[in-house]
Amino acid sequence: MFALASAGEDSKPPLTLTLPPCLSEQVLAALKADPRAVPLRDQSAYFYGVAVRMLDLFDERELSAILRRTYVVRAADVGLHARKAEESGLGGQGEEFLRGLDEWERRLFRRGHEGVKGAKEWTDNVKKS
Amino acid sequence: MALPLPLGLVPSEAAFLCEMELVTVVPRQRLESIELLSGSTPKLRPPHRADLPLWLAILLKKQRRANIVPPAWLHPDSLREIVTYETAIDVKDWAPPPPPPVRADSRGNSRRINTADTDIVLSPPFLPSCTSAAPAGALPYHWFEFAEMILAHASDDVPSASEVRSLLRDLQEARSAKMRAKITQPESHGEGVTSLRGVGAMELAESRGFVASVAEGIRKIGASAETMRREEEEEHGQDMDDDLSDDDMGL
Repeated sequence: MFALASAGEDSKPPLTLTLPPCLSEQVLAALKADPRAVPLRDQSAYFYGVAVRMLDLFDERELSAILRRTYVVRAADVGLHARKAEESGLGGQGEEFLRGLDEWERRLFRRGHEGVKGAKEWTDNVKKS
Repeated sequence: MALPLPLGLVPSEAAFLCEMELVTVVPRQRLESIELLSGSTPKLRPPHRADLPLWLAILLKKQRRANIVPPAWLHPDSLREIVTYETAIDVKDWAPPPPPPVRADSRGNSRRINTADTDIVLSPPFLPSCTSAAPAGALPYHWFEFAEMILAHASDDVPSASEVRSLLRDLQEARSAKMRAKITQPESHGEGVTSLRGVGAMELAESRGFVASVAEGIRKIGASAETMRREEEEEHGQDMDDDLSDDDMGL
């Protein structure tokens, strides 16, 4: 290790780690501007999964803060869509948003929708019986 | 997992528990007391009101042997008041649950009747929150299931049932929006702790999966930052301990 640490006069680090393209400067800037407008799925289907692994490797406070805000803001919209999914009137924008969800958010959507569906089924059954 | 059911109560289970709530009925026929696991029911004598479990009341209602007296909070005026509270007065928290039962004495004071000096202290599922004695202007724990069941089976006993129905829809929408806002703005409450005071059983069953998933995601994103903070704190903590022991020495 010592040998590597002092590897001659041009003291470049022998190994550099860069963030994957889905966490590039442009993407983060876009997320900072408006988390809802970015289709995360186009960046990576496992956007948050990748990001969390990267956070384990790097000490990136800013990235962590941006991710947290993105997740929270988008989760609110995912919840709303999960509730309104039955009432078709989503419009093109809603569909676009749902297409851009990454795997974590899809799971969130499913869980939210299951809950709402369960309550709705019960309400409908009460009326029938 | 052995059971495919999700954690916590599912909506049908919450509704099943709601059927244990006592409700006031006006009997049309005499009925002797029935021995039930939850105790014996009062004798039914036609013009006198009596409190029965909801499932039995609905059964008698279906057989046209009793009429159900809806609780005061199910009146459209009371519901409208709560809708106003939810949408205009407090847009962040839910309307508070019903106050504990009080009884007035002859000198014009009122005292809680449900305190530790009586034999049994009752908590929400066992309070008579759906009888005709329940206060108006506050929703009890089982409000949604109870209202739905009453409207489905005894809508002719509820004054202006269609208005009640639409007010209930409004309430449900306003309150679920609050649930989403609450869970997705954990910072607003400080330290990621959220109060769910006043939320009903069905609302909890409905949003449990979503809320738990959101919290889990936030935890995962913050996990590495959290371990780093812990490590730093540990280092600082050791320094602090040293300082403290020095102070002790000085004293």
